[in-house]
Formats: sequence, C-alpha cells, structure tokens
Amino acid sequence: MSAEHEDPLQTFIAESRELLLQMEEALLDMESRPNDPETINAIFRAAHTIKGSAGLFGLDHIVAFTHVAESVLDRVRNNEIALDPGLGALLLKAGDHLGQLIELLAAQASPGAAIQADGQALQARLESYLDAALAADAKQPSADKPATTADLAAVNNPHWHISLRFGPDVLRHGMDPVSILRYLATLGEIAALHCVTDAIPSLAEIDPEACYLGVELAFASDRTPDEINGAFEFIRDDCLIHVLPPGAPLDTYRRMIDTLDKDAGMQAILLALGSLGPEEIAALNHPGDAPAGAASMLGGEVAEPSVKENKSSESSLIRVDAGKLDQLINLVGELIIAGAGASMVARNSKLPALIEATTLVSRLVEDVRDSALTLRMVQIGATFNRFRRVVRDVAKEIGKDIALDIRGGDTELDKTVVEKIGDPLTHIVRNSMDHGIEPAEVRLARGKPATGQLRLNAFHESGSIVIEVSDDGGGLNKARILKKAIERGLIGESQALSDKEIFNLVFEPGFSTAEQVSKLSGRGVGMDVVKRNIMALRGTVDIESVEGVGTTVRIRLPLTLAIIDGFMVGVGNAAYVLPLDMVVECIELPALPASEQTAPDYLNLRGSVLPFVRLREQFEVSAPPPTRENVVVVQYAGQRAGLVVDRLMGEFQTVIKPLGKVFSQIRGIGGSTILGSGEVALILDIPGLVRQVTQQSQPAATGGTETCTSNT
Amino acid sequence: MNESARSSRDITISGELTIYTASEWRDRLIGEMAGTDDIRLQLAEVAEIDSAGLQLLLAAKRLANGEGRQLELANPSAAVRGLFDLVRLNEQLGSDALHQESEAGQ
Repeated sequence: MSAEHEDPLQTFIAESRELLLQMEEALLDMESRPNDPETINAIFRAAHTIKGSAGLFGLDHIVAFTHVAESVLDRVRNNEIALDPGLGALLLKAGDHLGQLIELLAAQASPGAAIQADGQALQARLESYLDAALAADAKQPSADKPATTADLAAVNNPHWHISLRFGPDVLRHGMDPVSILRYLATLGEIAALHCVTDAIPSLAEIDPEACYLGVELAFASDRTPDEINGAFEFIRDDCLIHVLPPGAPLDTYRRMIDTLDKDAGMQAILLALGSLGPEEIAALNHPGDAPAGAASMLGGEVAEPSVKENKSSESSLIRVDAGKLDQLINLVGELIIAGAGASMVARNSKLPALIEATTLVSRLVEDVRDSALTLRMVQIGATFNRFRRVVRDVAKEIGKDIALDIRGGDTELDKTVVEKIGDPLTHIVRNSMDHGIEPAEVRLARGKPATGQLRLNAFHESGSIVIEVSDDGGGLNKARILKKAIERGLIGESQALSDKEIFNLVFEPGFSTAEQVSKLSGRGVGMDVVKRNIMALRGTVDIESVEGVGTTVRIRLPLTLAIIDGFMVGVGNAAYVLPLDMVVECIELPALPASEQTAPDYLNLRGSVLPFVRLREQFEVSAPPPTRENVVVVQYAGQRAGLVVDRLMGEFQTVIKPLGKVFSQIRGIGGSTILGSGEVALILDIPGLVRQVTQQSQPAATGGTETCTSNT
Repeated sequence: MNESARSSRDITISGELTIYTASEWRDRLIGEMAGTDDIRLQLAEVAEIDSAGLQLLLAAKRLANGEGRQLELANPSAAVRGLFDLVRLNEQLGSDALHQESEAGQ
C-alpha cells in the first residue's frame, strides 16, 4: 500500500468495522423478524459498500470474498433464496471472517494460511447457495471487476431520476406521498412522472390506511444531492428510495430495476419518462459478460443509491480524530486551572468589577467544560448490542436457551470508559451464561421457564454509571465459595463473613467454584482480571446473589475520567478535593464529651451510626486541629461514611491529573489537581475510604451499624 | 356485450376523501357499488383528497374492472384535479380517467 493511500485506507477500515457491526446487528434482527425487506437491504448495502470500497483500494481478497456474500444477499433480497437460520449463521461467520481480514489490514499483515482456508471454506459454503452458473462467475470475481464500459458510461439523462416505493405504514405515520411530491416540486421541476399503482388492490381487499403507491419521476433541479435526499428524510425508514443524479452510470439503473423487479414494465416507464434512451435500454438488456452483482463495484459508488441513502444521516455527524478531542479536553482542563487562578487574583484585589468579570468567565468556562465533555460521551447501547451476538453464539455452543434483555442503552458515558468496559463485561456475561443459568432440564425442575434470562442494564446514579449484568440462574453457592476460599487459604476457617464479602471472594485471583471447567470460563483466570480492569477505571464491582433465584453483578464507574465538579476541604495547610456528586451533607463534628477519654470513630447521625475517618490521622497531618472540626458525609455504592476535616472550602472545578506510580500504594488518594494558586491538591479516593471505614467499623459496631445495603 | 343496454349509476363522493375518512368511504363504496351496473363516481363535491383517497378511487376502479364493469370518475373538483395533475394520472390512465365533463364543467 503506497503512502498516499494511508489515510483513506484508515477511513475504509473504520467504516468497514462500522458496517460490519451494522450488518451483524441486522442479521441478528433477521432472526427475530425474518423477511423484513429493509433489514435485508441494510445487510446487502453493508456488504456492497465494503466490496466497492475494497475494490478502490485494490484489496482483491476482500473483494473476492465479499462478492460471494453479496451475491447470496442479492438473491435473498430478490426472494430467490430464503434467509433461514442456517444461512443467517453462515452470513454471521462470513461477517466475522471479513472482520478478521479488515483487522489484519489494520495491522498491516496479510492473512495466514489458516484464515485463508477458513475463507475458502466459507466461500464454498456461500457458493453452494448460488446456482451453478452464478457460482462459476463468482469464483473469479477479480476477472470481471472492470465493468463493461457501457455500464460505467453515464446515461444521457440530464434529469435526476427518483424512484419511490412507499412503505405500507407511511400514511399511518402521518406522511402523505402527495405532500412529499409537492415538496419536491419546490426544489425543482418534475419533468415527467409515472405513478406506480399496480400494487393497489381491489376495493374489497384494500386496507384504506395502508399505502400502496409508488412513483417514478424525472426531476430537473440544480440542488445538491443532500438537499434532494432531504425531501425523503422522514420516509426513509419505511420506503424503498432510489435517487439517481443526472448522468448516473447505467449500472445504477440496472441495480435499481433489479431491486424493483416485481414492478413489471420498469424499462418501459424509464423510457417513457425519458430517463433512459432506447439504446440505453438495449444496453441494459445486454450487460456484457459481467453479472449484475459484480458490475457496480467500481465507479458506480458515486451515484449508488445505497450510499446516498446513508448520506443524510452521516452528514450530521463528523468523524473526529480522538487525539484532537483529547487535546481539546486537556486545553479545557488548563483553562479551568488558569481561570481559577484569575478568580483568586480577582478576589484578592477586591475590585468588584474584576470579580464580576472573572465570575462570568468562570461560568462560561464551566459551560465549555460541560460541552467539551459531552463530546466524549457515547451511548452504551452500541456496546450492549454487541452482546446480542455473544449471547446468541455462546448459548448455541453450550446448548442453553438464553434470551438477552437490554435496558438503558441510551445511558451515556465517557468513550474511553466504554472502550475499556467491553472485555470485563464480556467475561461477566459469559460467566453468567456458563455457570449462572442452569440447563433447561434443571430450570424446569426448579419451576423456572426453560429460557434463561440475561439482562444488561445501565443507569446513572450520583455521578456514577451503574452497569448491571443479571441472570435468573442458580445464584452463587455460599457454602461452596467458603469451602473453596478456605481450601485456597484465602480466609481462615473460623472467619465470619457477610454475604457480600463471601460473594466478593470470587474476585480473588485463582478462584473458581465451577466444578466443571468449560472452554469459556471456570478456569479461575478472569474474575480477578475483571475486577482489576474495573478498578483501573476508578470503578468498583460487586455481586448480589440469591441461591436458586439469580445473580446480579453490578459495576459502578465514574462518568468521566477527566474533569469533575469537586468539593474542596482543608486539613492543616493542605487542600483535598472530593467529587461533589458523592457529598451528601456537611455537619459539625460534635464536641467530645468530657467523660470520654478516646474519641470514637463514629457518630450519631439522626439516630443512625455514621462511621467516619479523620483525614488528619489518615494523612498524618501534624498541624494541631482547630477548635471546631467538620464532617463531610459522603455516599458511595449505597454506603455512607464521614470524613473529618478542618475547613470546608466549597465547590471547585477539578481537572483530574493522574498520580505517579510512586504514589499508587497510598490508600485514600485517587489523583491530584492543580489549584488556582498553583498549589497541588490531592483528590480523595472516596470508594476506597468508604470501604476502609465501613470495614473497620463493622466488627466493632455489630448490631448498631446501619449499613445502607442489605446483604440479601 | 352491448354497452348501451347497461345502466350506469351515479355515486357521489363529497367532503373529505383522506386518510381520516378512507375507511368510512371504503365501506360506503363497497355497499353502494353492489350490483352489476356501471358506476360513475361524482367527484365535484370532494373538498379534500390525499394519497389515501387517490388509492381508494383507483381501488374502486380496479374492483369494477375486475367484475367487467365500467367505473368513471366524473366532474372532479379542483382538489381532485390538482392531485391527478400532480401525479399525472390523466395521461397514465388515458383521457377517460377523469370524465371529459370536467373540462366543460369548470
């Protein structure tokens, strides 16, 4: 690959990955609602676009493989082949193989013998779906890649040709084909029009609210393709739309006719509308030696209706290099720090006008920060949807019937977090399927439906995002976990543990309770890695389980890794920052009664026990405590704890800077930030502190402690 | 078959012929079209028509033709004519799609 091809090639790789994902989703959709023409079209378009683009890069092996898949899909689209589960599975595998080829391309490697053999096997199986004649053509796709000149030649038509087949639900959705035509007429002139009424049934059979209409029209307009496509924005999902620009290659017409071939007389209509001339119709009927599927892969792309159909949705999105985005976030971080500095100078100067100005600037900086951060936010739905495939494949492999229920897919979180959560999530999901959900016989015996339920759920909760993986399987066996833990020397024999602590033992390295080690999980590597990965994202994971009823693994992650709203407190001369979202309230530390010698490390908060930690002791601050100390009540994962500090210093926009490795062993510190004065403040690791406090206090305060989670 | 021997009956459609009334008109038309005679749909009083209405007219025509009967769309109102012009159905269905009276009538 020559150097100047590099950048477009990256785009190709990125686009292909997306298209393959779309294709996979569509294929999975097909399993639940087969024969949905729009879905078949989506699959076909994905394959077709990949093939077309691969052709431009001269990636013959990808073209060759995709061509076969595309030919099969074309047959499916024309109802010549039924898309049965067998073919669906085969196409999924073909998609995987394509994915492999693309990844190899990204890694600048060429496919090894094993992959090539895989590809050939898949290709052979795909070809078996084509009839003998077509299969013969498909085996040498590179031979017919240069389409005949007639196909690439532009047609003489000076007008746009627009073909619309309105979906049955268009009218019910409040769209009227007539209004769309009227709107189109405002963008140019409808030179000729043919109303396709063949689909209208007799009055006795008509559903008066369904739409049966179609339109072919020649359209004179100098508007851009986007503007013209825009006219069909609202019906795009329901309708079959082809928009061919003036002088589109003849092949695009052929493809359109192929798509619409149930409408008889398309050629006559095109001739009557003046979209194609008699010679062009003749050329259409003698396509040279290239089969229809292969002819379009070069040149045709520009005017390809499938590409255009996607265009309008793409035009509202911009692909941005992640590096640029990170740079922007960094700059915003610096801006916040500089802004804080300016505010401080202004406050010290005591000039009202200056203070006012800096306050306004701070407010705007805050807005800029928020919108910069939302740029990085993505919905978790795409990640969740990947599991439809995982669940389907694994369920098949282990012979269980498992339904996946996805909720909260529109919950947003930071892109970096999304990228890193995929692997741990996969592991948890596989674990649930493998060990959680019982085989059908056992389920029936236990009075559960034979189909296992796996649920992925996401929601926001006080500055964190919570991701839950729940199953309605057998639940964790506490006795077995304890036995194993004692066997492995993780705990002492007489140690009394809460349910939660027992469940969390499965995250210990080298722990697996599965009696039977399977291919997927149960080898004891994994859950500890899962936990480590989640901790690396400043998140936590815990398990809730009821034996015989099910298990929920709950992952909590910070919403963002870069900038947070902080709350600043002071101990001695040092300032500390904690995430504002986790602060529940601030109270004054009650004075120590004269009778007490040693101060207790808990207090009575409106009747319940609140364990607390003195930051002065935690960080060994030597400065003497002030006469009055304050307690900041924080909450994390449903547990409350207090932090005793000297001063409350208020809200502070905090740019999180990582701490060096040297400090990684220090407990209670999660990062650092820079204050307006240029001083460094430490960011408290609230999850860590809360855990530390509640664990310390639990044995001491058994019976009295109200921890906010019940360990059921 | 002797055309003149067959009787031709008028059915008048008035008011709205749109998605909102399409079901209603369909049922009424099926009722009124019962029989074997030719039909003339009087469209002079159609105040409003949309795609659903258009489909209905064509479906009625299809029903009649299927039974070997004639169905004529007569005296289209301005709304009907506007729609037929837009979708060029006059040319497509031949000159008798909308009965000639329309030209004289307006």
